[in-house]
Amino acid sequence: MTSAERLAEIVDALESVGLRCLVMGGHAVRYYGFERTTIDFDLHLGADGWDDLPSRLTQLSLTAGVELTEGNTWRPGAFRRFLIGRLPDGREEWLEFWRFNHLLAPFPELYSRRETGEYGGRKLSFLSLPDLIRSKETDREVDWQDIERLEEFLDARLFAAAMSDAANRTNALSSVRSRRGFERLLAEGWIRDAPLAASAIAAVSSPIPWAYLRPFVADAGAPPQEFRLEPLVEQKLRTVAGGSLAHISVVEIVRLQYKRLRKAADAADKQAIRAAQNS
Amino acid sequence: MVLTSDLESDPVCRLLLSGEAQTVAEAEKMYLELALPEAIALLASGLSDEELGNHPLMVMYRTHGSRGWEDSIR
Repeated sequence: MTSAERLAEIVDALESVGLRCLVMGGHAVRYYGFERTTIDFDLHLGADGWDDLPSRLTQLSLTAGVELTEGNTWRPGAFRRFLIGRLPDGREEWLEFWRFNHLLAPFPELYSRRETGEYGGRKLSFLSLPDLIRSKETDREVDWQDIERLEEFLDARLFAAAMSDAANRTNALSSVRSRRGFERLLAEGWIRDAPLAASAIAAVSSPIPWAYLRPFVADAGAPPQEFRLEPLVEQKLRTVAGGSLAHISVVEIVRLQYKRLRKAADAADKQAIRAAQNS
Repeated sequence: MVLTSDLESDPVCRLLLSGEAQTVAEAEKMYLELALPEAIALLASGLSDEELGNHPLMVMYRTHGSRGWEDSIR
């Protein structure tokens, strides 16, 4: 049995005891197209069933004959993990559940944005691609390696949607985060369409698309409020030739600053939890 | 040719020699973090776009940044 089939079996079993879930983590990354190994089963649950999770899990056929062991968690109330057996190679098999993830919206909102697709031989529900990217903006470098690829996939999807319907072009521009996505939009000529670029930059929620678009918009507002750019960076983005190597370099500086800020926020959140637990 | 002459002055080599980084890629990533103030100062240095884009530090930011399309498939 492949790990994808095992996941499908697990989700089937969870649904059989009334647990609705969304797949996140490494399997969701694989579903969206980045083929990498994972042995973790990361799921986001609704609030229902959280308190009696151990008793529901013991009803599952896939844990029959195995003593269910709950592992330690340093986010009590938000994250739980259970040892459900061992893999053929002897490694432990863990099921990990989020009820509330500090980087994400509440479950009902995530569920309303879910993507359903074939995986491991059945239809499963996954975090939407933008939500998955957000869930990976942690202080762990390995998550940012996933983000690099996921951003390319998201940009490719948004580009395809914009190719089939011009009404989607603003969204493709205002969301662009990968260099490949940017180069595709540039080659298509959409970024040099001043009214389109202006409407897109007004809709951005991240400093990265803002940095990609800024040189093409004569009179843009400030970058998204949450992320203040260095004045020298902002000033350079006003004057640099759009699409030049210098422009791409400045975008990469903005990307590094964004990553640093997100990592620091996640680390601070973990630190606050640890401090509260130790006090 | 003496390969060791510039090792001490090269910040990436220093990170490797000190054991702070295990690989060249890791050392370069660490260096790019440390060099952000220098990179931002470069933006105001009066370099032309072409000079700025070809500056070794900026080349390194792009190399470690988001991938572009290969020239052959553009």
